[in-house]
Amino acid sequence: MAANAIRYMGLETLYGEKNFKPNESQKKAIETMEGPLLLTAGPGSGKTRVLLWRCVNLIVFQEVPPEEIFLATFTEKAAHQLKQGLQGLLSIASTFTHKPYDIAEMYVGTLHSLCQKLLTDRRFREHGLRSRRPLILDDLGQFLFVRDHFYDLIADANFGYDDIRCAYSEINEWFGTKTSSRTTAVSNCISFFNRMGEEDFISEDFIADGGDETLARLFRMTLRYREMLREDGVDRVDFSTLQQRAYEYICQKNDAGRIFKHVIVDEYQDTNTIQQKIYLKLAEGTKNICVVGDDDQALYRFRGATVENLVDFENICENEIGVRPTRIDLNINYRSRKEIVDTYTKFIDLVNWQNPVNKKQFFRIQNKNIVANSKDAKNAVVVESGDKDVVAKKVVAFVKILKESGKIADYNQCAFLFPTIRGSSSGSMAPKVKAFADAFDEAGIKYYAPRAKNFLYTEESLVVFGLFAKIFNYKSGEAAFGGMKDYYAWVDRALETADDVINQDNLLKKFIAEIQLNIEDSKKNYKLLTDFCEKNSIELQSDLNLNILKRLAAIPTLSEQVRRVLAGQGMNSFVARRIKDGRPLHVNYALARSTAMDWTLLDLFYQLNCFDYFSEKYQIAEHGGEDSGLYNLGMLTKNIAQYNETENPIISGGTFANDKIRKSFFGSYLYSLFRLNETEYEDTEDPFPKGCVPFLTVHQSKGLEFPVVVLGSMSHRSKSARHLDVVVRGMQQELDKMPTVCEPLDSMDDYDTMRMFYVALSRAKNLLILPQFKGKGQSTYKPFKDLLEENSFSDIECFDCSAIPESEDHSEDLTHVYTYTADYLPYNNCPRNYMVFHKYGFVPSRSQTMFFGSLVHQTVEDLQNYVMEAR
Amino acid sequence: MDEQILRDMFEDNFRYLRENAGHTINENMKQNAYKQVLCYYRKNKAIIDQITRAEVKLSLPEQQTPNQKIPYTIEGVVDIVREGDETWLYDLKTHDPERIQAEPEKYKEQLNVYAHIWKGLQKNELDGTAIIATPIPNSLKKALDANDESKIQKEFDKWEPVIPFGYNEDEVAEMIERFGKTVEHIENADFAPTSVEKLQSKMPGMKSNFATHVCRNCDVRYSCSSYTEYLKNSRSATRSNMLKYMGGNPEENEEFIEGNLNED
Repeated sequence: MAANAIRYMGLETLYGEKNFKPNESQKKAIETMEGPLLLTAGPGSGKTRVLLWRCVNLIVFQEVPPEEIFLATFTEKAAHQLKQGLQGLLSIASTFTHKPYDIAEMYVGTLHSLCQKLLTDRRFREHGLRSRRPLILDDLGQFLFVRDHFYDLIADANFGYDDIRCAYSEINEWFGTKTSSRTTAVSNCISFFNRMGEEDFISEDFIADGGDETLARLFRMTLRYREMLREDGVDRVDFSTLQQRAYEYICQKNDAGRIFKHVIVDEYQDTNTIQQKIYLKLAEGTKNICVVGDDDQALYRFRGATVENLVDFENICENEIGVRPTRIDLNINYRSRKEIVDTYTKFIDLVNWQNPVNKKQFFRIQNKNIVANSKDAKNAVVVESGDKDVVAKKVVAFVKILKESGKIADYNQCAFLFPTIRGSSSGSMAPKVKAFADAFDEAGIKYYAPRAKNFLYTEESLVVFGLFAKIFNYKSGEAAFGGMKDYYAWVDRALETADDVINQDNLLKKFIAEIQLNIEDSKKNYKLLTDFCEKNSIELQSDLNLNILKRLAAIPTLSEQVRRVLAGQGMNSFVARRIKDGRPLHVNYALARSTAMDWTLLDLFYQLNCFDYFSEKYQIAEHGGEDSGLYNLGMLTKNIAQYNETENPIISGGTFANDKIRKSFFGSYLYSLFRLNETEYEDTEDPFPKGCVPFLTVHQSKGLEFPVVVLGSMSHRSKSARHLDVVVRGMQQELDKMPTVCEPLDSMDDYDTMRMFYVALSRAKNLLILPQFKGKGQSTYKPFKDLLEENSFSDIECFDCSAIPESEDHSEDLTHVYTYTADYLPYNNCPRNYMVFHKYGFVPSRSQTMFFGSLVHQTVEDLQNYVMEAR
Repeated sequence: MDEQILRDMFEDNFRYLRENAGHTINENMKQNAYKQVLCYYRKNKAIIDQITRAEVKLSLPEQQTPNQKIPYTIEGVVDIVREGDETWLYDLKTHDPERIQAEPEKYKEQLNVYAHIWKGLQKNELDGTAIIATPIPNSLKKALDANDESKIQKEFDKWEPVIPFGYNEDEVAEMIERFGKTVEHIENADFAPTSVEKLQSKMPGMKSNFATHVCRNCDVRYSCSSYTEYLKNSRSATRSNMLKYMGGNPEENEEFIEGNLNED
């Protein structure tokens, strides 16, 4: 008792230090330590704070070593914020307890990053098993991998067509798209592979095809794909097989459920099957699993997330680990004014959440009782109805008034949220987005819509790839349709943009001519060499010896430079050494090496940067000016480097003779990048520049809040359940793996749409604006119609602005972390170099020294760990 | 420990880095890297076998920059080594020992701050600080290249990879102030390139100047006003022929091609 009292007081003391007054359920959530816990966390209910304090309680007062806490977040940004906050609170605790707290070994991050950590965690290592770090394929990496192996995947699946395009059509049709596009087929197959991994279906499960032949072929492709990931001595994983791999790895360890004393999972509504398995496995022994989430804010079904994991958590947990969790509702909203909270809580109940078959069951957690902390009863929701362009203008004018009257301190405090921002054709915006964009243009107010366009349509991309296309003489083709047509339109735009830049810079024009000459030279020499080999019956694949080198070097018309390489000491000693080692090189090698460019594509990029168009951008950023250009250039270096990872970075005469740049760089890599960028990614964390109104997708707005929110669209066209969801349901039934709570397939679309709008509505703090478009072609989603009918919201004209509280500009800046080796020393070595590589993340072209350093450093580290472990 | 295990670890890391970086180093550089690791192991076997070592992340939160009071945190990772009754703080570096000896201050201030966090704030034991420099000294390298057994043994025995530094609490405040100033520059987006004068000056402990040693290996030299200015001043470079003077080191280029060119 006494010890408890001291502990309890301790936590209270810390609350006092940070001026935190938790409400009753928050307190309970922070202080309940034993057994499983289900925290339902409504919008703005102080969830992050609760998680922070829960960790403080664990580390400081329950004395749980940080490395025994596992905390999974939805984004790396959220993890970073938690770590920062925790570090701060712990340093205050240190002043009372005089103990150091080091959270470096604590597991905090997205499950993807935590899985990588698990795979090399010595605590899970059973005797004899040495785990190796797999190579992680990101989305583009996976796409390129599948695309490169697609022919084999199709062949192994026995589609039985003479024309492979028929197989593409069959796959695409199965997914509900009528096209024979290879790229679409690749994307479709990837979504299938990933889903099979997310559902943790293993080889034995791929029998449940229900007589569907295409499905049976997709199963075969999935199995083959999984094998291919481990072929040619490289151990690759994509994001979904990474999770499966981690799950397998922890399962082979006895008592894996006791390594972490506490498992905490945030945003549980967006977990999928394999993730749930990992969490429950890790908590199997201690039973200490705390899941936090809001089923009303589930957004990621299209990525395999299963909101039922949260809705039915009490039963799942009881079945899997034998204890029923305590449920605590974080129901008080501290974010929004009362009318806003009332509006979205009414909204979510405008569809029926009851299971039509089992009336006791609901597809939404019941009785959460979300209430506003704010007692401000004045109007906080505005509805403006009418013609699209008229409404858009009115709303924009209203936003201007809000800014001028100081209700928002900056335009970036007013967010426009849309279910989707992209239009149906490449590089265009959805019509409603366009209406607002035009109105803002007319009013002279800037908006920032990072997802409105394919990244390759940014000016910097157009210039860089346009210049590349000029240099390598790449042109758009004809008779194209679909994705290829969009791509060629982009190529033309890039070439035009590059022309504009070249026409203003004679030195650049000269440089391009020189590079082209350089290329011609290489081609010419390569031809001389191959002709010579042919004439003298020297096979290009035959073994290379010093005599052949000598003969090649003696070809009379060869460029001096090429001759020098062939006769040079570097080449000759390398060739001799390889013969001595019994691993002779091929003749081809001598041809490639002697005609190799002294630049790679990435070098070429950096060289181009010496011209005014680029160097001006650097100079502005060097003095703290506008820097979106450098962000984009940095991104481009990543793309070019990624190409170099998949293809050999060295460019030589053979590269040109085989037309590799055209086929492989433009035809394949850039084209894939272009097509992938055509979808709206949800994961990147975009900045909200000052002075601009942000246009975001609802998915992007997850976890954020804004003083003013405008919901850009209240319409929705109903869809039937995705074929993949139907199939997975069928497999679950056939394999007897059905979860107890399952949303009916024909309700999925409605439920998902309601949740998506719920997220949008609940982002607003002080004011929520709902424009309703009427007239030809416009429709309002049924629940919104009902909402507007049942409530009398004010319109813009009648709205009393004086009631809106002024927004404090508390851009709660994260405390930044700086280190000696990554910040202080590099900055003082050269601030500009630091800016480029550390702030904007440029990829260096030739990091030989870095490679060497990392190799030595990592091995010495491993050595010391090994020796310690062995003792 | 069997040296084959070390080789396996090395190959494993090599493979991992190659797959992740998309490019690699040539055979020669790779052998040199292994030589370095192997020598390091042989040289430090006794210590490595005895020590209880832990990598510790040290953090100094709630700092403020000197002028604008911008909050920030200092972080660093060091090795804490307990050897018998003594506790030492080590920082592993792959810098040449010659370079460390030329600029001891740079390393000392860093160790001072780490020691301050470890001992001063967290009240842990500390008997000393040191840098462990993994590279083989030039003299040993030469002996190895010459394959002269007795010379190798002599140089090997002479080699001191552990470079001890003191710990002086008095210098910490000054150091943190300097650190804070740097943070302020970074937060204020103060990124003008290193001055032309510094580019022309010799690197500490080396024959080459900053421009040759640092800038010439920097990818963004092409767009750099200081480097351009330097080339105009010291060579006959002009605006129109600038790129000619900006090229990299031909030898390194040769190495790069040898390391990365497909062999088929």
